[in-house]
Amino acid sequence: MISLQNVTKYFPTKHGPHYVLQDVTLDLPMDKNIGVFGVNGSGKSTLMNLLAGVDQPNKGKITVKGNVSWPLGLSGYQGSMSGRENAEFICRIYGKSKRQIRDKVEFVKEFSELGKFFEMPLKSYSSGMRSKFSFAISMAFDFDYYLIDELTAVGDKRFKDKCNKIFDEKKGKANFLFVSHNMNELKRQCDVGLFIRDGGIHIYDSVDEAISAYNAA
Amino acid sequence: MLQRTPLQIQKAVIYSLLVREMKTRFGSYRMGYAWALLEPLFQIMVFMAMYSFRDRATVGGLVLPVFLATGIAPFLYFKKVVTQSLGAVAANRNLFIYRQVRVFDPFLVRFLLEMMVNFVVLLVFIVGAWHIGYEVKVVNSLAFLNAYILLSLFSFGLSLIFGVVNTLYPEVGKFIPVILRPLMFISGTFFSINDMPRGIQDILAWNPLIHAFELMRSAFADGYNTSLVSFEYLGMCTMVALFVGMLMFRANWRRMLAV
Repeated sequence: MISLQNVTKYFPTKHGPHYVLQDVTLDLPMDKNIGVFGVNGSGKSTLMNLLAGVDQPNKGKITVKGNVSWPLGLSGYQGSMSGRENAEFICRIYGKSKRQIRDKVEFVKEFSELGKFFEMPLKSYSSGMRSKFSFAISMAFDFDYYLIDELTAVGDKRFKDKCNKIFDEKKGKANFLFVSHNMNELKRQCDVGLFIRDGGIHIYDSVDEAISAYNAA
Repeated sequence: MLQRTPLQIQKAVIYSLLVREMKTRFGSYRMGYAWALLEPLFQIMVFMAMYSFRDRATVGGLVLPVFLATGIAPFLYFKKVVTQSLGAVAANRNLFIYRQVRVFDPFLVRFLLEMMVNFVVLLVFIVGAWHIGYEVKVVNSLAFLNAYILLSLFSFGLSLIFGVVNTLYPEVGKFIPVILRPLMFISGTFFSINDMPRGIQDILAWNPLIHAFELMRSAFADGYNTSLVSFEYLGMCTMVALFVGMLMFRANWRRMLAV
C-alpha cells in the first residue's frame, strides 16, 4: 500500500519556492501497474524519489507498506568501479549473504551479456552497455514494487524480448510504476495512468485515458 | 523479503561503503596505503635531521622518532579526517538513491577508515622505532588509547562542521585547507609545549591538538611533563566539536541532499 496524505513538495529557487506537489492526497493501488505521465519538470522523478524514500516531502506524510525498489534508472552506479563491484555493492547494501551475492552477481553478469566488460569500470561502458547493466541489476532483486525511471528495454530485438519476458515474470509477484516518455511502452506495461500537472496528481483508470488527458494538456 | 532491523541496515551500509571507500579512496594505483605511511615517515625524517643538527636525541625522555611520530602522524590523521569530509557528500551523491544510505554515512565511513588506517600507521612507527634499536618504553598504554580516541572524536566533530560548510558553501570551504596548513606549526607536532617560552605556552595551550599529542607522548616516558595539558580540556573541546558538528549536520542534512 502506498498512500500520500496532504503531501507538499517544493524546491527553493531564487524566485521563491517551486511547487512540484501541492497538498496531494492519494492512494495508489498496489495490485496495478502504473504509468506516470507529465511534461518535463512536472515532478515525475520527484514523485519517484519520494516513493523510494530518497527524498522527503516538505509537508504531509507518505506511507509505504511492502518492499519498494530504489528509483531504477541509469544513475546510482559508480563509474570508477566495475560492473561486478557495483553489483556487489548493491547486494551488500541490501544485506545479502555471501552466497546470495554470488548468485545475484552471476545473474547480472549473465543477463547483461557484458562479457569481459563486466570486470571493467562502468565509465568505460557505451550507453547501450550501461542500459543493459542497469536493467540486469534492477531485475536481480525481488521487490514488491518496482519504481522504474526511464529504464526501458534496450538493445536488439532478442535482448528486448528477454527484458519483456522478465517483466512479465515479475508482474505475477510484484507491481511496477513506470516513468517513461515512450507511450507504447507504457500502454503495453501499465493498467492505470497517473498524470502529474500543476502540483496535482490525477489517476485515470486506464492508460489510454491518461494519454488523452496528457495530449489534451 | 525479510524485514531488517535499523541496526542491521546500518551495519550493512557501513560495511558496503567501507569496502567501496577502500577500493576508491586509496586510488587506482593502490599507492594510497603506502602513502599513508610514507607521508608521515618523510616528515619525521626531515625533523629528525633538523634535531640532529642540534645534537638532541631525546625530547622529554622520548627518543626522537617516537616523539616526532606521536606529533606528526596524529596531526596528519587529523588533517586527513577533516579534508576527507569536505568531499564526502559530493563523492557519494549518486548513492543516496538507495534509501538505506543516508547523508551521514559517508562522513562516518570516511572517518572510520581513517581512524583504523592511522592507528595502524602510528603503531607501525612506534614498533618500527623499537625494532630498529631505539629505546621505546610504554608506561601508560591506556593514556595513549584515551588520547587517540579523544583526538579521533574531536577530528570527527570538526570534520562534520567543515563538511557541512563545504557542502553548502563551497566558496567558503575553499578557506579550510588554507587554515589547516599553518596549523601544523602551532600544534606541537615537532616540538613539545614544555620547551616553549612561558608566554607562548599560554597561547599554544588553547589548541586542543597540542593536548592530544602531549598526552600521547606521556604514554611513552616516565614523568613526561603534562602539567600544561589535560584530558579534561581535550575532552571538553571534543564534546563541543561533536555537539556543534552534529547540530549543524542535523539542521542541514536535507539541504545537503538537495545541493
